[in-house]
Amino acid sequence: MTDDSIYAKLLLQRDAVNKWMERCGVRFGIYKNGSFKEQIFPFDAIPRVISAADWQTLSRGLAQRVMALNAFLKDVYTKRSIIRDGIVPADFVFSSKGYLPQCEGIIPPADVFSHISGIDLVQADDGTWFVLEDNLRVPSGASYPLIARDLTRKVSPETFADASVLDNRDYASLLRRVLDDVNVSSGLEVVLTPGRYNSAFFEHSYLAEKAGVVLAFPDDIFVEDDLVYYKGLLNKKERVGVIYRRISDEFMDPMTFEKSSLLGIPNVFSAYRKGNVAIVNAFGNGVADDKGIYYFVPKMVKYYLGEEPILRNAPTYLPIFPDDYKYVIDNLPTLVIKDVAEAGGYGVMFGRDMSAERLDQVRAMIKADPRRWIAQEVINFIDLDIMDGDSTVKRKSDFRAFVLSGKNTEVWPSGLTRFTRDPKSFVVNSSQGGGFKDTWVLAK
Amino acid sequence: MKYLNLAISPAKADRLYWLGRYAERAILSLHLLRRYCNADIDADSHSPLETFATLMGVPTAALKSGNFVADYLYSTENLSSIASTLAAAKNNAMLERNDIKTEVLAYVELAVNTLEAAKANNAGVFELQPVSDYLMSFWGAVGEYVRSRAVRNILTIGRCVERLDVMIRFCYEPERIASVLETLESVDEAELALCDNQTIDYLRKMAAMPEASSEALSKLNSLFAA
Ligand SMILES: Nc1ncnc2c1ncn2[C@@H]1O[C@H](COP(=O)(O)OP(=O)(O)O)[C@@H](O)[C@H]1O
Ligand SMILES: [Mg+2]
Repeated sequence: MTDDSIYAKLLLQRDAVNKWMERCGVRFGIYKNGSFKEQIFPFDAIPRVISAADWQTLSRGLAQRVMALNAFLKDVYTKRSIIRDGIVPADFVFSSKGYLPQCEGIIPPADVFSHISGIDLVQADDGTWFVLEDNLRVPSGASYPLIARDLTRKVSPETFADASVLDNRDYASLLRRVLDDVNVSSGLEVVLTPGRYNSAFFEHSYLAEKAGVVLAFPDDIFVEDDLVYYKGLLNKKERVGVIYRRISDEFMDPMTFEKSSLLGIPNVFSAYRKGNVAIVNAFGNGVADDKGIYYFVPKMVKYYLGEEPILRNAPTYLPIFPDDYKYVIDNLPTLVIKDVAEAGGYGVMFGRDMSAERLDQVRAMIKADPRRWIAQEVINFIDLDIMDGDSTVKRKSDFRAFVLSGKNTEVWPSGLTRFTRDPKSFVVNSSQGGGFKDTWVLAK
Repeated sequence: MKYLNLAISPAKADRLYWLGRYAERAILSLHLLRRYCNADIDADSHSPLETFATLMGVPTAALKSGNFVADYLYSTENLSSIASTLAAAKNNAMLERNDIKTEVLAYVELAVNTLEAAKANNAGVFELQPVSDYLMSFWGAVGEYVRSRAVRNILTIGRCVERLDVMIRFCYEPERIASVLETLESVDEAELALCDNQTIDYLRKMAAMPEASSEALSKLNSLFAA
C-alpha cells in the first residue's frame, strides 16, 4: 500500500499503539448473555480528519446548540416561557421520562445544567453534518480519543510533527475548569463511579486521574444535615463541593428516586436542592436529551439566542403531529424509527431491514403510543477507512463531539469517532460491538 | 495537595493495602518457588516442593500427580496460585488507577499479560523472570509516580506485612525480619497514624512469636476494613 496520507507514518506503528493500549488497560465492559466481560475497545489507527474550515462551523454550531439547551433546561424547570409561547407543546415536555418534577425551581450553580454534553453527528455524502442526538445526561467516550492521542504521539511523534493537528490532551484540564467553576464552598471534587462493572469504568478512573480529582464509590460519600461529605480514614470527613457523577438520575438518591438503588447516596438530592453541592451533569437533563425534544432544538436556538441555527438536525417526524403521523405510516420502509427513551443503539430500527409483518407491528406500536417514537430520514452518512489486516475497508462511522460548560462554553477540538465493524450496519454504538478512532482537527 | 491526602476512604485504604500485599506475595512466591524447584533438581523425591507448599500454606493435592508447579503458577481455580494472586492485585490496582497512576498500574497489567502468555506456552517457573521484573518495576514506579504520601505509605504497609508473613513462615534470619520492621517504623510518620504504635506492636509480636502471627495478621487485615 502506498500511502501519502498525513497519518501514513502512524499506521506503520499501529501494533505498537495497540500494545500500549493493552498496557494501559484501555478497556470497555459489555454484558453478553447476562455475564460481564471486559475487552480491549477496538482502536483503529486511521483518524477521522476534520478540516479547519469544517471545524470552525462545527464548533460554533455545537457551542450554540449547547447554550440553547442549557437555556431550555433552566426555562422548563422555572418560568416555562418556551411552553407559554407555544414553541414546545406542554404535554410533550411533561410526558418526557426525563422530566423530573422534583427539579422544578432549582437553578444549579453558575446556571449550568449540562456541563458535559456529548453531541452525536454524522456527515452525509455531500459533506453536510447532521446532529443525530444530544446526550446531556452522562455522555461517555472522551477518555478514549484522549488516551489514544497520548499513545499515538508516543509511538509516532514524527506524524504529529508533520501534520498540524490541534492538541486534544487538554480535555482533563477543561473538565477540571468546569468542576472548579461550579464547585460549592471550595469542597472536594469527586468523580462518582458506580464501580468496576460499569461499561465505562476505565473512563471514570482515567478522567479522575487526569483531572486530579478523587474517584469515589457510592459508599465513600454520605450526606449529613444537607451537606455532602467524603468518608475519610479514622472517621475524618471532608466536605464535597462537586460530584461529577457517572450514575443516572434515577439511581442517584433512593430517598428521592428509585428506592431500591444501592448505588445512590441517600439525601444527596436534598443537598443539591439547597445549593450545597454541584451535580455534574445536573438532575433532570433527560428532558432535553429526549429524542422527541431533539426535534425542537433548532427552534430553541432561535428562541433563546435569537440566532439562526448553524447545525442541522436530521429530518425528523413526530407522530404526535397528524401530518407527520401520516407520513411516517406511509413511508415506514425508508425511515429510521427510534424509541425516545432508549440509548446505546438499542431502540434504533431501520424500516428497510424489517419484514412486512414487522413493519405492521411497528405501525401498530406508533399508533398506540405516538409520543414514544420519532422517525427520521436515513442519512446516508459517509464511510471511513478502517484498517483490516494490511488493507483498508469502508465502514459507517459517527462522531461524538464534547462541549464543556462552566462559566464559559467550550468545544473540545477532538471527539470520539465510533465505527461499526459490521459492513451492513449503520449502528456504531460501542455496546453493539463497534470500535473507535481518534478525531483530528486540523489547525489550518 | 492537602485534601488528596485526606481523601482516602476506608475502602480505598483496604484496596491499597491488599494491592501491596498481593503484589509482594507474587514476587516472593515466584522467588521461593524458583529456589525450591532448584533444590528439587537434586532431590530424589518431591520433598523440597512439599516443604515449599507446607511453609507457604498452599494446597498440596497436585504434588502427587506431579502437577504442582503448573497448578501453582497458572490455575485460576486454585486461589493461592500466582495467577489468582496477580488477578487479585490487578483487581485492586484497577480500582485505584487515579491514585497510583496509569504508569504504575501498567506494570501490574504487564505482569498479568506476561503470565497469561506464559500459561499459553506452558512455560516453566524459570521462564517467568519477566513477571518478577515487572512486579519489581511496579514497586519502583510506586516510589516514582505516586504523589500522595498516604497512598505510598498504605501500599508499603501491605508490602511489609506480606514480607513479614512470608519471612516468618520460611524462617528467615532475625536481622532480615528486623529490617522490614524498620521500614515499617519509618512509615509511621504518616499524618494518618495508620501505622500507629498498636500496629507496630502487632508486627513485633508476629516477628518474635511466629505462632502468634495468624492472630496478628487478621488484626492487621482488619485495620482498614473498619
Ligand atoms: N437518521 C439516521 N440515519 C442513519 N443512521 C442513523 C440515523 N439515526 C441513527 N443512526 C445510527 O444509529 C446510531 C444510534 O442512534 P442515536 O440516535 O444516536 O441513538 P442512541 O441513543 O441509541 O445512540 C447512530 O449513532 C447512527 O449510527
Ligand atoms: Mg447515540
